[in-house]
Amino acid sequence: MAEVTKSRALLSEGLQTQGESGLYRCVNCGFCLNQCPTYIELGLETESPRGRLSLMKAMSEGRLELTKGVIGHLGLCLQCRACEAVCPSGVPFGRLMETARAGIVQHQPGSLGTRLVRSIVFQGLLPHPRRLALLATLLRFYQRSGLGWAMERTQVLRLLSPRLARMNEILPPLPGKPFSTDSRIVPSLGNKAQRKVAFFSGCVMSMIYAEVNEATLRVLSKNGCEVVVPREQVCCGALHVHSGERDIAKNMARRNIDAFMGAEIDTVVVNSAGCGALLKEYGVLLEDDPLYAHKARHFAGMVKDVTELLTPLPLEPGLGEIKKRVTYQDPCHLAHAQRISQEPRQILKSIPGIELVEMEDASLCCGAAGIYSITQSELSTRLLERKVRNIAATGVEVVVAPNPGCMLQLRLGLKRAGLNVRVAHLVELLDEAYARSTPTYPLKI
Amino acid sequence: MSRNDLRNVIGSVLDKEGILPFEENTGYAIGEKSPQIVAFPKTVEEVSKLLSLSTQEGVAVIPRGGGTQMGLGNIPRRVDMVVGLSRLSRVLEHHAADLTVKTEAGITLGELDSALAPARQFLPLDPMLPESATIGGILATNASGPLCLRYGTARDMLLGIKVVSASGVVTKAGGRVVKNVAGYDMNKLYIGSLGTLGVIVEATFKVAPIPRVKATLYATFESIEKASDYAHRILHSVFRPLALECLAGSTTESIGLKLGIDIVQKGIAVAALFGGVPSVVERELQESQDICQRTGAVSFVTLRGEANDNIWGEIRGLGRDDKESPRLVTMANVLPSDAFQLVGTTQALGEELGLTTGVVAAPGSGTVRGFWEIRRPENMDMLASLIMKLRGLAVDLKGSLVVESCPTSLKEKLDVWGAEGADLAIMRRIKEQFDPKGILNPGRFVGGI
Amino acid sequence: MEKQRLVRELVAIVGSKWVISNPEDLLVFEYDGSVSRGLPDVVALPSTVDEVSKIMRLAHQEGIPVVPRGSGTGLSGGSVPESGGIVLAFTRMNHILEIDPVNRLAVVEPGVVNIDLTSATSKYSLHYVPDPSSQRACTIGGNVAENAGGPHCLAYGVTTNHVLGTEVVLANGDVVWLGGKTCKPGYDLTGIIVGSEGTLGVVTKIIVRLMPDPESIETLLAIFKEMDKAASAVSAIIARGIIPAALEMMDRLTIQAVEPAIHAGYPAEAGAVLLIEVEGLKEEVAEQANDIEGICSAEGAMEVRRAKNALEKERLWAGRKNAIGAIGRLSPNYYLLDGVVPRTKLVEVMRKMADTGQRFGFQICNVFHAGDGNIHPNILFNTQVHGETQRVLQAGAEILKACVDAGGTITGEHGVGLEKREYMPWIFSDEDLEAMVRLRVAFTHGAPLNPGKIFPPRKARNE
Repeated sequence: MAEVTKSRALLSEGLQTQGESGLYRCVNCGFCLNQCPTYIELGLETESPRGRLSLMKAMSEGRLELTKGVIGHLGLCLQCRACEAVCPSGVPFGRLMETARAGIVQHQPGSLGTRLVRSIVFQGLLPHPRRLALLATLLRFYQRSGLGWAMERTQVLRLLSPRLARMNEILPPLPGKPFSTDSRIVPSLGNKAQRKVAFFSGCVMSMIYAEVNEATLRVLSKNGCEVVVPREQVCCGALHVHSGERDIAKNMARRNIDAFMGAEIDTVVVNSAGCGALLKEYGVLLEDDPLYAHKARHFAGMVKDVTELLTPLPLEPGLGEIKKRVTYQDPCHLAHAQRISQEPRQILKSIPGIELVEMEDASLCCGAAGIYSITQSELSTRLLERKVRNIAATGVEVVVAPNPGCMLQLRLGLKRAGLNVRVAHLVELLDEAYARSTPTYPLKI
Repeated sequence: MSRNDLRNVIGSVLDKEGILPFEENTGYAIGEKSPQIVAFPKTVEEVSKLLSLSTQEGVAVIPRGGGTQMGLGNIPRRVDMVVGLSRLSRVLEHHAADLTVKTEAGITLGELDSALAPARQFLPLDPMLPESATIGGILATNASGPLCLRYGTARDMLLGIKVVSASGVVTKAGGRVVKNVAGYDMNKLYIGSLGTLGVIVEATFKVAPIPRVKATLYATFESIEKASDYAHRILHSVFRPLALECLAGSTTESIGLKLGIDIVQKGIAVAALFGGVPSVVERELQESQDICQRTGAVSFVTLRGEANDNIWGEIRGLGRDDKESPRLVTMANVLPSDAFQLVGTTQALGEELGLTTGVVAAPGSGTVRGFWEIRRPENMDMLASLIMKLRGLAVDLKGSLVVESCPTSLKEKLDVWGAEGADLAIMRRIKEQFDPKGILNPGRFVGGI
Repeated sequence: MEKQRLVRELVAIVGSKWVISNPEDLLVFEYDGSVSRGLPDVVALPSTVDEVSKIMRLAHQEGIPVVPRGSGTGLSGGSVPESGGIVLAFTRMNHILEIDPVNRLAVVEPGVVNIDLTSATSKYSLHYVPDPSSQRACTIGGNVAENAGGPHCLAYGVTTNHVLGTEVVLANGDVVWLGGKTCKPGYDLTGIIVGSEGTLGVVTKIIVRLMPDPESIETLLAIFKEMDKAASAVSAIIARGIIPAALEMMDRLTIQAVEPAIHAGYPAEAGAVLLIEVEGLKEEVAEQANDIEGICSAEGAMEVRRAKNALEKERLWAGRKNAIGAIGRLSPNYYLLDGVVPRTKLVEVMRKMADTGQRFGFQICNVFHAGDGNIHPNILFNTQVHGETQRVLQAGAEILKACVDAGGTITGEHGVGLEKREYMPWIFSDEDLEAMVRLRVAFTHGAPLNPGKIFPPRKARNE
């Protein structure tokens, strides 16, 4: 009991430190309501940003205990931060929710199984690139052996664990080899390098979308960048932060800062929206760390999403024609957290032949939201189905979503709906367009 | 209370000019019931005293403005006293820069507009007979005219009101500002309530700038279909006509004759009034003429200045009571998309019965008025069945039909307001709350209220 | 009625999923956009008129207060259940039932979000005029209850001017249609229901009028060094007989709050800006825009800008529509007023307001519908500072009193609700209020439908 009280005190303390500048900025105007996917889907104030903030306020004022119900409401948040993007008062919702989640983790460790899985994933796996690479190889073996297909067909996995079954279903065929961060340096393809950048490869991107990472290097190189891929980089820590594991995340942030600050660069490029959003917030994450606070702010200031880096430049000529109808899904952590939504569209429009067809609610979350699709599969599925309906209504051949979580989720939804729509990262299309009309364009770097 | 007692009691409240000589009372009969007394109070206090006495003594009161709409409504159960408001006729405040005006209720619309004219403003309500119709009467009957297409009706411009209740209590609602949501919107309650909830003594309006120029395109068509096509094209264009009325049957002829202008008198006419900035009006006229040509108008003519004013005066006045030849005036309200259909059926019904029939419709709002000549008194049964038939058609089109004016002998045969809705119960309860003794216009309003 | 039984009965009507009774869940129904708070005993989310009717009947039998609620964005405490009871939340009844482009009307359920209606009708080049700043969140049902306004109500009127009919569930559960698609004889009960703050009946369907989109729109931003000059420009425009579609003002402090958040392009050095929109046929729009530019310059504007394209227009408006929320950045709390003054009295009342602010030591942001004379002073304060809440209410009362003294009123579009009920006697006599109470009795027979709203407590006791 003493333990519980202590945790609760910790939670409200955490919220109170955010209070003056954060929680109490909320004036209940309600502008966030209809931007929030869970509110749109469920129509309940309890599942809205304003509702969650008022629960946090009540906890911080000691009017409310951290009950199972409250944990449920806070847990249903996708952390898509669509609310934050429209909030006129500037409530830092993402940060507040992360604080609340951190408090919950301390307060309610969950079942032994959950704790074990969390510990394995968050501590044993994600911070270790080599272990991840090994896992990728094992998973690939599992897929190629036919076991994965058998699991899906026989539904055995579903009986064993619905969560595992869902993970099995989500996973696309893995690349032959994970993306290598072995201190590579990719020279600029142009005459002289206009800028030196470092590439943040991302753990999920490296494991599952190694090809997209390779394409990113080629496109950057073609567009006058000399690209360094620092060897010591690790997972950004976004999944940790969203799940309330802030301390682990801070450690990973320090390691990344050390890994990148060694290189002589002016920009850190990232092609995963989720990673980019957190990298840009390292300054806030480490603001209380006297050793790293300054470095973290400096690092955060150098981070750019790949679309952000490419748009101000006129794209290097040599884009071949891709005759396709394409729609664009705004990744939450690009559109809401980083406020980047026009840039990717401009790039798409600059590729000859591409017809950009906007879908309804393009900036509404697809339900992926990190590990949300696994922890809150019911609501995630409802959001996914809505998204797939909107995509289907456009009649496109390709849906572009420059973030691995969204790509996995959309692929799953389209597959389930039996729709033949390709899911692609924006740089894949750029890469293909260059490959089509630039004979000197390298197929491998 | 005997007639003489009543006159004495009332006389103690009013000055000499406040009571009409008894022998003139018949001129104020309503539904052929002559009042025992006709009073003309000159202050709000006098109105209050009159009503307080009336409630005390159970005197049935018929409020009256300019008398242009006394034919409206069922025959009152009782007519004891007519209270004429014509002596309450001052403009109280005109805030020209605010575009608001506060006035007593007995002023005529014409007088009010004259007072506003120096500031190039007007009250954009245009019921018939503006020189007689009073503001109080216009509000009580919710009277409007062709301009409602652009400016709406009284509910869209009334900002505040002062009313004397049945028991003589003076209450006000709203205010003089253009936005106001403090408390219930009591203004709406009194508009169109035909004096059954209280006597309106003051009103505050938002007024409008007088359009810099005005002009009418008067076009004629040989068929309803073509006229409808034309009217809908105008109404669904980017133009914003001030008014658009369709005339059919005897009205097209009478208008042409009265105006003495060279316009084709047969068929269906559509009069579209444009107003505002000169360049806009010219463009609206020009492009409307093009639409005339495309939709096969037989003729069209542009009316400006006096000719323009005259034609709208005539159109507005079509429904006025004519003592010489009493008429039946019906007003149906249907969806705008059904208006022309009802114009057709109204005309056809008239022809079927061999009656001279005129129709004026506002296809923008869905109001269709019929004017029927009554030649012989024995026609009443036929007219009653005509009304029921036409009302049935309007109701089938999810609309309604009100008899605006007809001889008393016809009124005895029907309810001029038509079918009652489920909301009548609420209306009755409101009446009970505001006039528990039922002294104000008893039985004249909807559902016998 | 015992709470558990009430919950059971409600569950039987709407299903367990749509009854909220956990204390921690009820907590999020204690507020709206105002400073008022009150906890409901239970929240029910009906999906049909039949369910609403059954709930009302149940509440009527048991004498339980019912408080209707849309999105809870109201600014007067209208949906705050001051005396507990059942909150009827309409978020599930959010369907657009019919759009009739020929007759230019739509039939909607009360939970339809304001902007969704305009989005749905835009393919017919039609729109729904009232556009409160909260239009992305607020519901049409809530708009009807409060008779909501918005920047574009200057030329075309507020909610009441755009509602043709309503389906209403009365306190005893009876369902009646008031008004309709066509005019019907009888008292204008639709006009009564609009703005009655949910105290006469619960609206379950609404027929609204739609307006055609204009051929041309011109959006201007007039920049002034001082607020006084901007205010006289407003009077001058109206006095010239120009009624713009919108005529909005923001003062220095508001601009300072908005710019960092929205980047609307309002110059930081400005003392006040006017956001003016004219619409109609292109010839008249051009002429009026020129006239307005001339008037503003003559009244001392530093600069008058025109939006060159839709994006610029949107940006200028984003500043205005997000202004109230952005003020949350300046101060932990603000008290938002909604007074109205005759347009010619703007300068006078603004001066009095500044004086009040100074005397109480409060900063006041101003962002409002200048063309209507509908002012929205935001008094910045902090509830955590002892005694400040009390003082801010005093300062607010003083400003509203100044509005009333200038011939205005205490609320132009937010409603009286809980916040301003004490001030009603400033504008209405006992007899005036008595007439309103009679009207209420005619509708409710004294049932506690949204109790405590509109009427000063003393009056309410006499009901």
